[in-house]
Amino acid sequence: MATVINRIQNILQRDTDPAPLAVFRIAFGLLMFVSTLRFMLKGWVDTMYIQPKVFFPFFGWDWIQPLPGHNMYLVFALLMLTSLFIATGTLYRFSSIVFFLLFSYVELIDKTNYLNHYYFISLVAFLLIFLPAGKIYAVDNWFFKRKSIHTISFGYIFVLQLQMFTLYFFAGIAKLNYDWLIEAQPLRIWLPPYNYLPLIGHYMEKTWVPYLFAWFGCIYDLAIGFLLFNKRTVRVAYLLVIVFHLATGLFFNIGMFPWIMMVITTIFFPAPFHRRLLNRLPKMDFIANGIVAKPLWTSTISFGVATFFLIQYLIPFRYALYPGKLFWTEQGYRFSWRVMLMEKAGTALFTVEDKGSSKKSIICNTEHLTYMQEKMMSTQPDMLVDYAHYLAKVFQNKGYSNPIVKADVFVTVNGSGSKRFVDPTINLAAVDRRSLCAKTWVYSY
Amino acid sequence: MQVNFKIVLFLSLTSFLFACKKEKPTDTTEDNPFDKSALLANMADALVTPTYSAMVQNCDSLLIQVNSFTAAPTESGLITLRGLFDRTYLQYQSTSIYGFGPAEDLNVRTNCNVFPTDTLKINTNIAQGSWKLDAATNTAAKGFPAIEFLLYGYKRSNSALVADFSNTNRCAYLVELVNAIQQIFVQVRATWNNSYRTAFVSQLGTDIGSPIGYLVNQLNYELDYLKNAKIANPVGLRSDGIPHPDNCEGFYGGKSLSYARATLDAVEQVYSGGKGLGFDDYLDHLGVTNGSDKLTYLIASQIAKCREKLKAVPDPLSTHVVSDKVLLEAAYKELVKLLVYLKTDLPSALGVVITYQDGDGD
Repeated sequence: MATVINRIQNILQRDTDPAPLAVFRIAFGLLMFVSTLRFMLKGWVDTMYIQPKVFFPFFGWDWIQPLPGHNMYLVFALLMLTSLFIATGTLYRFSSIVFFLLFSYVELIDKTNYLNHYYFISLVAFLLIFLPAGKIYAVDNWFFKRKSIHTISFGYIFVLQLQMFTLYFFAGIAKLNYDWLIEAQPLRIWLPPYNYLPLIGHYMEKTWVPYLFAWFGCIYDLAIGFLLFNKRTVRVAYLLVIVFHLATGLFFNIGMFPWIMMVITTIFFPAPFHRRLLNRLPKMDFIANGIVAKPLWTSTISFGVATFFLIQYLIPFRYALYPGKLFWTEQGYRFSWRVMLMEKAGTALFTVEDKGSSKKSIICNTEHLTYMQEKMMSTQPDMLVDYAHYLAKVFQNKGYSNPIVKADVFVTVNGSGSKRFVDPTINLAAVDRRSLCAKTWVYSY
Repeated sequence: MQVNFKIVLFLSLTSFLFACKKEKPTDTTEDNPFDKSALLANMADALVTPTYSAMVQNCDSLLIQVNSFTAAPTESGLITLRGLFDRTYLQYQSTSIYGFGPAEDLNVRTNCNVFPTDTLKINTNIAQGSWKLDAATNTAAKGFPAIEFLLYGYKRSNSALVADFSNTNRCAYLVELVNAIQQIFVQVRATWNNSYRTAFVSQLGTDIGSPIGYLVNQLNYELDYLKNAKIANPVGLRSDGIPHPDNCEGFYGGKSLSYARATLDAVEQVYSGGKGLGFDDYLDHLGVTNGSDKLTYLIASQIAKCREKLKAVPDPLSTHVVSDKVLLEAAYKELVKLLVYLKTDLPSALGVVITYQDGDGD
């Protein structure tokens, strides 16, 4: 055991060219800049963070609130600024901390908008804080009058590679389920609508096509990390990365994610590739001479990295602690790289009664929620509870002394057809929001 | 090396499994892909454009009668005018469901059918003798509900109403209200005929902004509107159980439930594509089920149930919201069940995306 750890430690400490780190930093910063700009131009700051009357914070993060008025635009402006600072290596450490905090803050405001892709960005941004990425090809070098570092420990590149490996591999594990492999769901629903595409359209309704996509996707996710790590297969692997992400980008509404992945997967390329890229950029070494301290890779760092990833590896399996079908109850679903696994939709009809009086009102969800919030709330038990608590408060203000909130919810997942989702007789406003216990009032699938 | 071997092993194992999988009995989608452009062409040519043409024709005759009535108000003229109005308002119930594209650009719904109408504002406008119908303050002082109020009044005899029209401002207001509606539909029809139809039948995606996405969206919007605005509101299901008869659609003319049934008919039309290709054919093509039943069977029988329940209560709704509350609540419940099928099962089975936001499918 000790020798294994020593060997790993030796590999991580091995000297290598830091060019990949610089290229990654520049690419990541620019991609974040474009993503944030796109987000703002699409008007999503308004629709997601200003218009809503109520927000659905994550478990334990109730205190996170959006800024009032139009101040959320300020947050996004700062995100754009810090992205550029990260790309150019300007006040790098500070910028990466600010970027990480702001990005995570925005994501924590409302779980309606949760995407695994955003979780990934948060994790990468977190890692970047600790990497010496601002010490090569960076404005900081000019500013602080220091020389670019010319070697770093391989560990600093490896953590980013491992983060990407983790995303793929766990997305692959998540696909090892009955719906995906045996039923080819939800692809069996999602592909036929493309039957009008030229050339391939004709095949989209064939039964074997979703199976091909599903199995290829699963094998791809499980294998691609290994193929990228291996120097002999990295070229083929990258070709697969391009094919895979172009295909998903074509078929699914997943925004910038395919482009981000295609670009930053280059972190797996051998360093000379990145060095050649950097050489094409304008020169940024301002001091020819001088001594630069090589950032060390200590066993403490290894320990920190191991902990960081171990937590990430445990979180996806927390669902095993809950009874019932995961896709149905979604207890322990998020933060687990479960992407594109469900076609889920629901209709939730809420009623508020006043205990002790005859007052009773049916709720029109669109009066309280945005379209996206209603869509997400209608299929996710924890959001049903959050919404019930919000409604109880609204009706208390309307003069209901003891509001009882009930919901009749119908949900379909992966073509099951709509079925009653939760016990329509229980008072959801009385369900503890701060409990991680199994939600026994969710009907079994 | 080790890793490579494992991958090869895994690949070959899984491809073996995959080969076995093909034996699985297949569904009915193997033959020809569903022709969405035929569905859209049917919607456009058999439903949308004839509906807008009928709407314009109704508006035209209504406008002619309004002009002749206001020129010389008589009781018989008023009765004729009401007849034409009722017919046009009823026609509107089958038209509003096509509220996307050109209709959305011209805000058909907010321009034509905001109820309850603001009688105070209408009377103020007339008394002041000047108004701007486009102003936000007049949103509830125009459209069919406003015309209806002018033609039917509230607890007022026909002779008194006719006498009211000796006020030229009142006549001018009425003419302008009808004129505004007529112009909107003339324009919507023209846009459909000139350019929109071509674009409509050629976009075959199912995402937001696609014709199929629009149709599914409108189907749900109209049904939701039927159950909430036309039934739940007046019955008081949304307001502590206190009924609001004056919130009925068609409160002054007293034809609320026939309008509600017409809305249900329109929902059925769009769902079934009339006699041609519709969503029911699309669902059957994909072999969509819920439990042991075909989804199309469930939807068809649920529409029948809704229709039956909406027939159980006679017009005028406003005088029955209290006495027939139980029946109306039963109708509401059936409409909810239909909504579940159309809002949850149908879009989910067709892969219709009704959001602009990025997703990762969870």
